[in-house]
Amino acid sequence: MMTSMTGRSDYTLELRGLETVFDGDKGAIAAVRNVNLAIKPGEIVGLVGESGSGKSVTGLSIMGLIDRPGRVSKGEILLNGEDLRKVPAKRLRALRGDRMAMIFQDPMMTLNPVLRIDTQMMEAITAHDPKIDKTIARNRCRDALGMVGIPDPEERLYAYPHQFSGGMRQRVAIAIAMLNNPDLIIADEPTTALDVTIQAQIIAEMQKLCKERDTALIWITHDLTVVAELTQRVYVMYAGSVVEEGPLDDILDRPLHPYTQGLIRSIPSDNEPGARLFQIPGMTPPIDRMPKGCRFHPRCPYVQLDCLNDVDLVEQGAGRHVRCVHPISQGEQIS
Amino acid sequence: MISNSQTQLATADDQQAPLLEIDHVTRRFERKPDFAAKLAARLGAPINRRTVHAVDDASFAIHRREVVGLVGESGCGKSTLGRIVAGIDNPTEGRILYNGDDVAHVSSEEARRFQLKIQMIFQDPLDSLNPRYRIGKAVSEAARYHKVVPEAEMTAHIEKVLLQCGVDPTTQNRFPHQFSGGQRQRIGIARALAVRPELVVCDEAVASLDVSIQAQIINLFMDLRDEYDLAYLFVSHDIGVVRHISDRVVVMYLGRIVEQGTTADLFAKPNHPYTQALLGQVPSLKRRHSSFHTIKGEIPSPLKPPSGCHFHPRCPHAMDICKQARPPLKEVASGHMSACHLNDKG
Amino acid sequence: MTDLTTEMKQGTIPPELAAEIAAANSFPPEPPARPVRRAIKRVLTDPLGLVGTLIVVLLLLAALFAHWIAPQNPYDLAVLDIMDNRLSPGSESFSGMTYWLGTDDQGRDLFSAILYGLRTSIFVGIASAGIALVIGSVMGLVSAYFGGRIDTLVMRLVDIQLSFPPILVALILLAILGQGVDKIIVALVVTQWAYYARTVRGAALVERGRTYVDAARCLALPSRMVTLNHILPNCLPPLIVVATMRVAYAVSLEATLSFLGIGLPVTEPSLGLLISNGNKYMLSGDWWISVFPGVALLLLIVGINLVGDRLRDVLNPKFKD
Repeated sequence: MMTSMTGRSDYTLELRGLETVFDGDKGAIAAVRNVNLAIKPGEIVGLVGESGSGKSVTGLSIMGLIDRPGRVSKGEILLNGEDLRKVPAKRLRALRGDRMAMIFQDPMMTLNPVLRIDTQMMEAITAHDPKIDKTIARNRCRDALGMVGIPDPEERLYAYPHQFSGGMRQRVAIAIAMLNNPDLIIADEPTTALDVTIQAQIIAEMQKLCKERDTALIWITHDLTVVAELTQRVYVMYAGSVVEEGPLDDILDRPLHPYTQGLIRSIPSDNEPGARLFQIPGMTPPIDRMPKGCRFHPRCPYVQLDCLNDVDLVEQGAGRHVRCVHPISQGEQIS
Repeated sequence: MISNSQTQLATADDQQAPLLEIDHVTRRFERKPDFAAKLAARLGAPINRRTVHAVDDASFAIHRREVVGLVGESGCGKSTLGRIVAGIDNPTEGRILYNGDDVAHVSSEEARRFQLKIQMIFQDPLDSLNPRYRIGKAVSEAARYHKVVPEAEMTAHIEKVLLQCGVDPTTQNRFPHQFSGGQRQRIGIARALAVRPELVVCDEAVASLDVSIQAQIINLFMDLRDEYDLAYLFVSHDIGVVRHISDRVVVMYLGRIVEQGTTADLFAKPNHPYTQALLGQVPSLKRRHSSFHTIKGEIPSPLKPPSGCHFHPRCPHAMDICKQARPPLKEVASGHMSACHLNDKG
Repeated sequence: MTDLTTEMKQGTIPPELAAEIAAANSFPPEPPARPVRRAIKRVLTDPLGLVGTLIVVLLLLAALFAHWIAPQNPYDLAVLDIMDNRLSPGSESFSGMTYWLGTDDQGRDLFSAILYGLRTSIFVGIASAGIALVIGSVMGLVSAYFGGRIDTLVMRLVDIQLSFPPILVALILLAILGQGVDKIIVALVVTQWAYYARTVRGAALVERGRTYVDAARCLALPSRMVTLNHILPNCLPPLIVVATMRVAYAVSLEATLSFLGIGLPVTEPSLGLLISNGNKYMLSGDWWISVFPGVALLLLIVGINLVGDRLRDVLNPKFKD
């Protein structure tokens, strides 16, 4: 394995001040602003947000998959200490699919409908290791399929994507992502389109695989309940920025940001069937009409005058960060 | 608070005819052989008749002001059943009784009246609105055509409905694409409400919405029920939401109803192994890092459902009889029905 | 219940922020949509689209006002002077008038003849395309909405129609019906309705599968309203594109038929007939009699096609930016 010139890093991936903009008629509009994120080997991190929060753009930015008119305009993307914004395109392509891989909501984003599974998997291996022995590569493909829970992997290698069900297709996509034993996997809503029983299977599978192989996993989702099931640490995004970050239990039990609190409380709980749900008023602002200061202030129940000032992500207690002028104190916590 | 009074009301209503009754409804989709297939069959090719039992002998009832949740995974037929209830699709067999009248055997005038009483809210709010209709027209069109209120009161009626659904009536001249997803769903609800329905079928009505918007829409549904004494058939794969909103829950698997009962009962004591497994897989904020006891295998293709009890290949308790005979839906507790052979073992 | 903002925040909002917050949480002011205006703008911002539109508009105006623009009425035999026959472009007549495009074998000013011919050609093209559009759309809609046997019947009819070369069908029809503007329009409609029927059916099938049609049925609106008010307007974009292209095709088919001498009568010459008239003098060096009407025809068809091409890009959702 190639090691980067910049030396070792504790983190598999580190984002420092990432900004991704989309160029339009009215100039560049930032979809993601000043995102800092760090993930260690073997860690599972949740990136939570609603549509328009910039969570998917963040994932695509890391992979270098942002297309015109979008572009990463600021910040560093350090994969094992190597800044992906500075490496040549060839190196980036070599890293993609080898050291880092992405799983999408729609597995057909990864799979080619007219090629057999084995062709696609072999390609994924030989693209990064042209001299590999064919039999060894083939065995690796078969083992990868077996690992994600596909029955008769030997036989299923010869199938085409359309011969799999939706859940099985997603498993194949995961197998391909895992094929080269990457250091980082970014999963963008991979179970959102699947049934709960299939979702449970895939979550269990991913958890096991990442633990076994020390793979860092970023799970992008809108669903806090999935995050609760799977992750150790959570980043909550709103309107293009991370508004809160911290260990899972802290975030869920003692949210500091009013938005996080609102999200948690708006999920129906088992306790009070039929009761009114907590609702956050209004909606996520459109990307070109962001409120000034704290972007959540128009929807915030605790809004004050100084919320119109810009606010940074600041440390608040052990391992926790929040972007809020008036974070919720312990006394105000509603469980 | 709503829920408690509701349960009592529903019990009191049991003596009367329910608002809507689904009586042994079956819906088959059949691919009819075309000319080429017929010719091939004549020439000795095997006839490939593909029949899907999207809904297989389903019976249940919805009472006035009751919220019935219909849950199941993809391909279980819940959406088809929802469409049949809403009158968009017709059953192949079985009857639908509205206030005790068979909707298939009434005058066309009567049928139209019934149709208006049952409205539907769809999963994709944008697709459910005609892109070329201004929303004012979208909401008022049917109310005006059917003369739901006198023409002189129409403007006030539409404004009231829009306000109730949280849509600013001054935006009536806009087109659907100018609204956000949550707003569009509110417009769809206003359109249904404008014809004064008694039962609203919600087909995954909050599935495509963001979490914070989802809560707004669910609250809206509850408010409207109080305001208009609405009953809901809430078709959803989201068990958390169904549990929150429903008085009663119907569980489907591969076209069949496998269990139904009051929400409290069904979640406290799920009887059918499928229900037990399904409820065990629902992620919630409370369970963290629990390792799931996942159900083995995949949902079989509805084209080739397993024999006997459809669930037997995945069932941890499967017996010989499960492969042979379809278990009937039997009462296991008061108002709690389940279709499982285990209940016969005593 | 309706005013979410007040419900959430009674008393907690600083009064200085109230107005701004209410504005942010109320309906966001989206730019008003003017799909037609936007489509036209997008056609005109493309250089080829602009050229095409200019050509078409210019030719349309010329045809429309032929009566006032043309220096002479080419069909008024009294003003024609046989002595002026086959004069080359730019020559002067005995009466002192300049024939900028020359004259034909009757001594007719070619420029005037082209303007009048253009008028006939465009009228025949638009009229036949318009009638075919109405007939085809109705057939396509009926076919898509009712499906089953009706659908099979209509679509097999369309298949049969499309499997014959249009020119052959038109030739046979005109041989039976005889000459005349009405006859040629009938022939063109018969050869063209099938294209519209197929386009509308395809678009309508897509629209029928969308949930707003389910919603309309749930609201117990009659089929007539569902098809005409809901489905048809949403089928318009592809229909407009096909119609533009078909006008160009109708014009050229009519020119072909007239050139062959079975289209329009000599008394109402279209561009095709003018070309045909000059054809016999081509080899004797009097090229202009055929070439100028030919250029006019070419410009018209290329212009319409440029506009149609661009419209297709603009209206096709697959190419939307």
